Amino acid sequence: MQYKTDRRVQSENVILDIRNLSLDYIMPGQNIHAVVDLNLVARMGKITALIGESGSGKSTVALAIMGIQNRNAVISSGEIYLAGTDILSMPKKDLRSYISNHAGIIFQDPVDSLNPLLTVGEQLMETILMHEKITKKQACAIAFNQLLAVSLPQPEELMKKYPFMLSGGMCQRVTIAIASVFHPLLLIADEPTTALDVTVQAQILHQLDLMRKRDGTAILLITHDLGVVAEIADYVYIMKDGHIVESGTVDDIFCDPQHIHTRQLLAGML
Amino acid sequence: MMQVKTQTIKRLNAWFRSYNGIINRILTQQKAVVFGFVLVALIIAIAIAASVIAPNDPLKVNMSMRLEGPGSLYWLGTDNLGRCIASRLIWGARMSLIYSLCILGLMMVISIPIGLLSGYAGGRIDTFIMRVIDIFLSLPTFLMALAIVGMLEPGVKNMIIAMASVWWAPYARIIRGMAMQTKQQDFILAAKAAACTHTQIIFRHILRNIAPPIIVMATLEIGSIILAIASFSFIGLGAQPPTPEWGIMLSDSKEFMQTQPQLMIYPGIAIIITVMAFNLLGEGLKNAIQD
Amino acid sequence: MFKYIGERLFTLIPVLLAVSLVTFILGSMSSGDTARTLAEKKYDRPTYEQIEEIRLEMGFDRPVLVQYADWFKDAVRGNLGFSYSNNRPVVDQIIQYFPKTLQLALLALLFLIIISFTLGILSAVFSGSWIDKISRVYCFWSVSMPEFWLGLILLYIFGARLGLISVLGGSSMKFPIIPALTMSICSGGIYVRLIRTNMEEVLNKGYIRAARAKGLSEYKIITKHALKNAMLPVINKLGIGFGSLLAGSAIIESIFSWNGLGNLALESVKLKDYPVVQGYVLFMAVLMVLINLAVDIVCGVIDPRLKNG
Repeated sequence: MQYKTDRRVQSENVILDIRNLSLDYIMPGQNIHAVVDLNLVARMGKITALIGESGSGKSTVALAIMGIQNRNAVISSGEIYLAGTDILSMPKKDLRSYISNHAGIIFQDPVDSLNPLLTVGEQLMETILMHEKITKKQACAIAFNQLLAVSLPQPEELMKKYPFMLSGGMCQRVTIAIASVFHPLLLIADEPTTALDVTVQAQILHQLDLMRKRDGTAILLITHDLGVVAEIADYVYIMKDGHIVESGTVDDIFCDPQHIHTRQLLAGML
Repeated sequence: MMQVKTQTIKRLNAWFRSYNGIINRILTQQKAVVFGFVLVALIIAIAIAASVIAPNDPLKVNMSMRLEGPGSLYWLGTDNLGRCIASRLIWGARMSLIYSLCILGLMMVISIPIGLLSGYAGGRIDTFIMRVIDIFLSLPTFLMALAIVGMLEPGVKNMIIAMASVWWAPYARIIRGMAMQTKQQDFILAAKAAACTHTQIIFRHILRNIAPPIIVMATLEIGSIILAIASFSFIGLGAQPPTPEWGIMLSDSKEFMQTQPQLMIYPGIAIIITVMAFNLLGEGLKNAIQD
Repeated sequence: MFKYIGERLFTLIPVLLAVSLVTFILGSMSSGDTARTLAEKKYDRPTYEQIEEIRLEMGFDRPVLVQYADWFKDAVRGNLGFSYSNNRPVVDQIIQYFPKTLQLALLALLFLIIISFTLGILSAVFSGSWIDKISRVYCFWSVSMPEFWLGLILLYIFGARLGLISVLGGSSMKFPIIPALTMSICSGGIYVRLIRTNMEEVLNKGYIRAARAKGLSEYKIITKHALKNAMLPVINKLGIGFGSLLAGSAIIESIFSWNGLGNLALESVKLKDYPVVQGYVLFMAVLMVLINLAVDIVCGVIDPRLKNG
């Protein structure tokens, strides 16, 4: 199958290359330009942050990359190269499996991201059994290891628990475990700490950082919190009203901000 | 004298203006709702003008003209006793509306004071009343109404009493909830600070506030009441022959099902259209108020 | 858990008291008529003395509450009195006719589940499509239609026209398919709306989105994740709805000449056979409270949040 590939993209450890992406929300009577001509690159083993205020379109980008955007969201132009292949040129039936094999995503509300009527174990095993044809026992062992890998103690007990029994921080770790079961090359974290306490925030960020170092995962961190960015990000993209207004390394942005909006954000933070 | 008149006009104006916003919203709602509104108005108009519109006397028996087809004299033909079907349908609208308004009125008379009292007073009174309401809520309503009417003399009056006395409970509970919510609001505190008596607070302030949702509930309920009235009359426990009532017409038509099936269809359609119209209107009002 | 059951059973008592008291008082209000009716059965043209004799014999002269207390004592022991029309024990009659009503209600429940689940789920998953539009129209229409009218129409079509049921009477049917269909079509609207609303709400939830991102097939998402969450409140309502089906089958039974308890009750009301009516209402009230209790327990067991929380 000939999909659009780009050799250059496959080198330089670039796992995600978004080029000139434009996305509109088609509503009765109006067209909202949610994302306009966006360019973004995420590299293996690096944490790339996408910052913007609410309504800047950053979450929309995340959903579009994973192929789960809203029904009335239409991608009008651009390419999204994930692991070398433009997913926007793929036929629908191959799309989902390709994306889920190469990327994972965690969301803002960890408890809402888990099915309240299924145990942690059932949801984790579901993901495992989806990807590999192995026995339940083998899947169980993988599940245990995965829970340990996200620093969750006593996996045997945990597997039998329901999401409402766990704290927000634990749930978020579970979602990380589920999203990273087969070591995706890209992990998108859409406001992963916004709904959590400050102490728990640090733990989750630490977990993400660990994944980056240990597995070489590229992490796309979407947030509105500059403090979080300053802590662990390597590259930063600033987004406003669907446009990228500035981008660079963390040092560049924080020490020498060029765009007005960047300066406003930094000023607000201090 | 003139002062009182201008006062009343001013009050009516203010009242109307406050509801004008809602009426505006209703009219800008989807077509279905406006359609329901028009239909309900039409049905009410037919009911009011029944004696003028109906081509013949709905009660006049004419055995020589039994089971005739539609014609210029009898628009929809005649029933098994030679009575004009169209006239009976038209008068049936009046009967259904009158009976259902009576039941609705009686239900509201019972449930509003009880609900308001329970919600406003709170404490022991509230607990006691809620227990009573709970008992009524767990009754099989249709059965009870059936039994009550059955025990007493079958007839319209008893049907109205039976239905109202069994169906008031859900409304009392909702009204109590609304009263409790409204009680917390600031303007009630302001009224209390202004030394209003309890009665004044309840009727002037709380009731006026919760009147729109109550009206919406009532409109939505009329459809069910009309269906219940038809059911009771069908089994002979409601309106009695020869009253021109849709349920009775259906009951009469049972015997002639095989030869004259159209007798079954006309009253049924009349019921469906009327209930649908009120439901459309009720849904529309509910949406308008929720916004 | 048992404490909960005990509490609920405890609330049964005031309900039963209220129900039985009301029906008893109403019945006794026309006790003059009853004495006369009974006398007319015994003698052709009963004289005043004969009516009085029967009044005393049946104890109608005593104060109402005393009569009620007697009746209550008997009722608690399982004796609900004797029918005025055929002198058989009321309890026997209830036991005799109940199975047919139960059969009707169960079949109606089955049809109800099939119709409402299909329409509700499909119209939520394919929101905006022709199935969605049809189900909305159906919802609206089924709520506005008199159940007994649909019964008559179906009786006409399947009885008078197609000759599948006997129009004139007698339960020539082995299974009450058409009556059950009537009841289920008329009750279906509420459930379709509920299922559709719940499904739409669930399909917009975070865990559904997460499941899609995982790469789960749409079919699996609906069956494994969405359905379970959407159906819990529906099961609750269905259980209570079953109680309504049991209690509300009287008119349909009458139209289709299906000799169930509802039909018996209707006939007894017309004959002013008060003991039977009282016994019927009491029996139904107990049944409905028990059904509600059972539904609550079942839902408590299925939902892990209620079980453990």
